[in-house]
Amino acid sequence: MIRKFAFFAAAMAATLALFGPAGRAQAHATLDLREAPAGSYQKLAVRIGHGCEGTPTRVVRVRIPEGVSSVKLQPKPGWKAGVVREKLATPQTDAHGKTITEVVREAYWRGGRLEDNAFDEFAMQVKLPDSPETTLYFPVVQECDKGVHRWIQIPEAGRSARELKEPAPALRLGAPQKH
Amino acid sequence: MRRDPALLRVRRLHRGARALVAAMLAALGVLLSGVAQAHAVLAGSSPEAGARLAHAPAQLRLEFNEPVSVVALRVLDGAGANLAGPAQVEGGKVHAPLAIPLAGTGRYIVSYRVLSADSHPVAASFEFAVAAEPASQGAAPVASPLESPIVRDGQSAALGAAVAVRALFLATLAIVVGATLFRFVAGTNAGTTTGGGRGLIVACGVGVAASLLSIGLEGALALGEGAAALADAQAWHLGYASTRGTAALASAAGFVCLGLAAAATLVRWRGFLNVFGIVAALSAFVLSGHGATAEPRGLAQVLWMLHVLCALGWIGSLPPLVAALGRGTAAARIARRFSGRALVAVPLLLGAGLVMAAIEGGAAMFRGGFSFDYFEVLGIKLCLVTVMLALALWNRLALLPRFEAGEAAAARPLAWSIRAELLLGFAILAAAALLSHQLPPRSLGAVSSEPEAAILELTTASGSTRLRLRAAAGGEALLVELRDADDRPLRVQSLEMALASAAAGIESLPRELTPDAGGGWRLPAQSVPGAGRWRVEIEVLVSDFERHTFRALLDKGADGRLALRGADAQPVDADVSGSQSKSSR
Repeated sequence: MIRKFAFFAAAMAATLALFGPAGRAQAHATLDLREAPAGSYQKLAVRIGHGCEGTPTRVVRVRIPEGVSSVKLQPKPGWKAGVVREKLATPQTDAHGKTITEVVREAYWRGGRLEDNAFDEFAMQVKLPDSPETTLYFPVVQECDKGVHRWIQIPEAGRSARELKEPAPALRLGAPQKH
Repeated sequence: MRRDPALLRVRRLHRGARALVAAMLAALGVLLSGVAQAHAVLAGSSPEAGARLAHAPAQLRLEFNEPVSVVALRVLDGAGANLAGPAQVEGGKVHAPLAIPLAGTGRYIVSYRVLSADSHPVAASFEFAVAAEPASQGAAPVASPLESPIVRDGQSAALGAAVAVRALFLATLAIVVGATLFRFVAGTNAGTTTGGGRGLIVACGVGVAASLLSIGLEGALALGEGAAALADAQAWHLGYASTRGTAALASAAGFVCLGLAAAATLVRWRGFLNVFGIVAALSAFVLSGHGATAEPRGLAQVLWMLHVLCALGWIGSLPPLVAALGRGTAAARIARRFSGRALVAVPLLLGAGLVMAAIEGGAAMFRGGFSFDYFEVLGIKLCLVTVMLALALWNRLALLPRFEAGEAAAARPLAWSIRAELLLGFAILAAAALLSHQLPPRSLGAVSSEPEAAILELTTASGSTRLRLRAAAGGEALLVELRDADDRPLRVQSLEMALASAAAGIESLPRELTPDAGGGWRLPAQSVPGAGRWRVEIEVLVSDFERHTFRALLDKGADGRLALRGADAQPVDADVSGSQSKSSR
């Protein structure tokens, strides 16, 4: 009886694996994390899997979604890392009581060279917004010697990112971490 | 306990069958979970895209960044004839001889569709021109290619074969699912005695064959070739890479399970095999075809599976019901139970079917401009269903009570009436098979009844970007305008347009838009290569991190005039993932 049940369970699992989400998307620009606790400090890495039209990648730009703060980039040998800031229309107060007048809108790495047949990760540390059960999108623009990849497509409500040609890397915010 | 050799043999068979099922599932898993690597891209070509040559080239060369296999390679001249010879592939390099006459001036379209290593199709088109005079004298008359509409021979035969195979698939599935459900509904302990067991196994074999054949036919249709393309490995490869391939494998797996369940040796697994088999076979209906793409997706998929299950169960239960009528006293009880179940199943079937028809027909039904073919076939199907329902009602209200009362004379008319019902059922399945190859009006989008004045406005979900399309008076150009949420002209980084036509065998062909006096852009009719229906894809890069894609259908008449045909719900590129399942995360 137990064996019968085990076989049934295994077969159902196999069915789900077959007709459920199939693993693909290795070709896209992705984040190393799929999910993280809301409100937490996280290290996020944007993974670039290939160049454009066979040519090496020279610039990686990441749009920082609204609500993400305390952005710090991990230095990367051979690349010049930097951020683009934007002034806030109305200054806000952060969790430590400090007044914030500008936010990081974009992180970039320039001047390096990542061959088409290699992959690399571009890492940063961020504080995620305190809004569980939402999805953050980190649109990425990848500039190469020849051509550009814009991993900036955001799926419409109810649609799967798998239908998109160049989907933006996504991060699902889970339940907040207990301190 | 003494070991009974017969029992041991049965046990061994069980183990064998279990291993078979497990191996089958594992194989399917490996087949379906193809992990996508980077897709192939065209790194270079000779002639180059947009080149203007003094002399006709004798050879076409394409170079990709990784090894590819060629699905289709065409070089089309002004009359739409293919001048490319058989392609030779060495890794990422593709060569094909060209049969352009020496004096063959004009524009030529190179259209290619290749599979990259991950079996992902990559397709596009580009143009080059051959001028009798040097390129500097650009005024040399260059005939626009494809001024005549192209009708492909053999394609209708492939379509007919695909419909026939689909009908065969539906009929065998009905027989197998019906027999399985009938056992369950009738409550007969027919489980151990497999009266129709052998017949069912044969039906399952036919079902597997029909499922697998549909892969090749789908590929042949996608290639734009006749049924003869079945001998071509590329058709199979392409069909396999499409959603139909996934669906066909699922239904084949379902048939194998149902066939194993019908085999007498597997009594212990029968329940599971039946459930798994039916679910796998039904999932084929929502993995591919209209059921996979209708919106709202989750609801449509559930309704669709319910509709299919009830329809197949009803039609397929009729043969065992006729057989059961001959079984004396039990027959009346079985017929009554069947009739009772039908009272639940038929309203479900009709309700789900009507909702699906409304979704497929879309708002077009109410707007008055609809695709005639689709509704014609749907109308025939509904007429057949009405007659079948009337027969069933007559059976229930008139014949069944007499039969139950023990009137021997009532058995014959009842049996004949059920046979007639069965015949109608198969006719309905044939109509359903035909429907599955018609384009539902919803994919044609908002079809305007007045093409000359049609203004098509496409808006992003957030409403931040609006694209307005309009055919210029007289149809000599397509006008494109971009507006923001407040209806002000929108400045964008780039605007790119591509045209594709499956009928002409032209993959996504980039077109240049010229700025218009009114702040918009225009696509002159001459830039549309030939008469027929074109899929227009417009990509707007609003800012570095914001891009939108709009799709529409455009007709070019034989007189060269352009007319808008509404929004296009179907993605232009073949770059759609194999699985259409909705992400719930």
